[in-house]
Amino acid sequence: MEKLQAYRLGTECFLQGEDLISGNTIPGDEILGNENLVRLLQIETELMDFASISQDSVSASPGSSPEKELMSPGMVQATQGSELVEDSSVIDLLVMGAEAVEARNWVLSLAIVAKLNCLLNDGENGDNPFNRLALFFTQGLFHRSIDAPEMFRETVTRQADILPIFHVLQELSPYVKFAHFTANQAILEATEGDQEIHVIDFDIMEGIQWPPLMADLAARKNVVSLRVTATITDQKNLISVQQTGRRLKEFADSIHFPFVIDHLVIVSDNDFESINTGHTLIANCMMHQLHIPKRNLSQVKTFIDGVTKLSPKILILVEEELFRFTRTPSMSFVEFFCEALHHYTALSDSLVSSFCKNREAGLRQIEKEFIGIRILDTLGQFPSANEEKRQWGKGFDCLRAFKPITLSFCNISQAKSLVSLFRGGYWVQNEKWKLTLYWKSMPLTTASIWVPISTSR
Amino acid sequence: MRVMGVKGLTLYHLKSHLQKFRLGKQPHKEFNDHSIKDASALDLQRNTASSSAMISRSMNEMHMEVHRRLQEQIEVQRHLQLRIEAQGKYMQSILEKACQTLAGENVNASGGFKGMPNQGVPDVGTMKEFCPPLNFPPFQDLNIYGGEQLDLQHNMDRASLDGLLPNNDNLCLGKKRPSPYCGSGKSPLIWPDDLRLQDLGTAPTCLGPQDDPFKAGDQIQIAPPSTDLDSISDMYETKPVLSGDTISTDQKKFEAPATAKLERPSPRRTPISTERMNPMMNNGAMSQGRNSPYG
Repeated sequence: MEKLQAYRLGTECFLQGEDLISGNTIPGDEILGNENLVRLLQIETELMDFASISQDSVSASPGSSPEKELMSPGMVQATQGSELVEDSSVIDLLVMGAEAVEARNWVLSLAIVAKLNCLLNDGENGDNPFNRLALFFTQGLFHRSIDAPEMFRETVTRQADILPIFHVLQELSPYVKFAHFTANQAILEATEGDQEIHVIDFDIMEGIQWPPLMADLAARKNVVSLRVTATITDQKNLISVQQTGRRLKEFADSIHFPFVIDHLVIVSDNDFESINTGHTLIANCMMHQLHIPKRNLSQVKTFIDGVTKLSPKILILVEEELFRFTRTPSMSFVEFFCEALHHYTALSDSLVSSFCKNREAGLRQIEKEFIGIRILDTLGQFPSANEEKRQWGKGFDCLRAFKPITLSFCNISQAKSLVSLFRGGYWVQNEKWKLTLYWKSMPLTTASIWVPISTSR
Repeated sequence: MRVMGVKGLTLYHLKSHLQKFRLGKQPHKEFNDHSIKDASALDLQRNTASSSAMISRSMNEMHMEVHRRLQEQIEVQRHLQLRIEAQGKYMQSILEKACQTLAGENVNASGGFKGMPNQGVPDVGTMKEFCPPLNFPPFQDLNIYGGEQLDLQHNMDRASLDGLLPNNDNLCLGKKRPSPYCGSGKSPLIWPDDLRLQDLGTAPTCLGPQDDPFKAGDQIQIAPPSTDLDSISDMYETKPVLSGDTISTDQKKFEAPATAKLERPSPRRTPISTERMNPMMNNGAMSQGRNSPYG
């Protein structure tokens, strides 16, 4: 969405003007603030160069009420132009909100949130995926404005409830399978000829990564055993991890595969020393996958630091594009916000393309359970203070003891075969040492394999 | 390219066939093509002068190389299928268990869903267990077992179920409306064994009552049909397709013809493992219109 950038630039021009106006408003008098906002929006939209938007919809009569003015783009019959106007005004507002948050101008940001709320919940604008997404972003802005990120966790959906939705997600989009199969293939290649394999898994979730690996290992000529250690960062997850462990064990028993699973609560990287190794050690780190709720970078850092001490044979890292360790962390909130908007819109579009037109409910479910939570999580996690930013910036350091290696032809080939099974514009790109899953032109997730620098394979 | 003329012809053959390999066409057909042309090329060579031996050697090398690459690709695809299958099995087992967990909590016990001789009965039992306590309108609308559960339909917003309606027609007993999906509508009843039914039960329990019906079943369907069906149909061989097993009494008259049709075409197969959530799924497959002569 290049238009996003265009709007941002336009917005910046107006923000100065806006400050003047909002400075004049009485703090807390949101009605007045809204009116000014609306007028600014009007000016903005008029002056911006929208090739595909009809001028009629934009040049509303100044005399009419603010609400009506804002709604008039929505009232235009559903031509592409009018939809773009709605989209663009929503995006504008979102970006303005992000800027307000960055500037810590809570009054303005809350006003924008209110306006967005109004705009997005208005039935006339249509209940499309983008609007729903925008609503999540609005919520995220809201939480940052009131600085209470924990509030959004109204109800924690139980794992049993979420499971079918997750199942749909992983059937429809190659997101999950890509991560798991690439990792598994790398493990298989790295453990050629090994007798006992020990995997330390950062986040075992439902454990669906391991049955395929078990099946592959069971097919090997020499008897191989697998041990998985699931790390837990939160005591609350203990029960679900144990349950997952039991189910994996049952699966392993059903194929007569020697399998052991245990878990370890990780608080700091020193805890890792309690793991007794001596077998081939693999570290598996799936980061920020769509289905992993609420992991933060510090936990990942702890994991990688700890694992470094144990000197694994390989470390597999699968990262969501938005949170890649190797990205420059020094971006402003607004930049990050726009990136996130871009990313999640692409993600949502990719899911939409897998859904039939009128089968919206399932998509809605996925959005609500997964994407929505991810968005809120993402926005909440962005470090607000400089101190935090520095911590975040250090993220890449924990990988300093490792160097990446190229993925094998088989692995890449498998990834290509995998994405060809899914409808839509998915494709993979292999660049030197990482394999990225793309949807259309947007990278979604990246897999990479790292080996410790000191040892040689 | 030292000797042109006839040799040039030979090399041209070789290159064009290698190109085809690279573009990744059908391996076997490719192979045959290549071997035939190879033979003719070799024939040509035999007619020419001494350095034909070297040419044929390099041709063979390339031939082997290409062959090797193809073999690798086939291997990769085969492994991928096995892996997806393994994952599918595991996924299914945990879905069942999740379902059981929920069932355990919600049981109003109109009969357990295990050990039922007639598969129709556990269906009813399962549905009854899940639907009323959760007041899940959309699933009730699935209404495989009709009568009493049709009443519960009033709770939900029928308008939102438009997408499901054609499917619902099939599934509602007692509503013998003609439908293009007539045959397919019975399909969820045809093959589910107890496990599937539990999965079917999972769908409603796992959604909030105020939500729209979980049409994801259809959507799950969407991805596979557009893809390499043959490979997927092999992959999803995990669950046996229950052919000819009739389930609920009312459905019997629809099932027999449908079963036969449903089993054969490969698009039919794709719903097997993905159809865990929702009988709609199969209907979705049908409605995809994958040139299957349904209904």
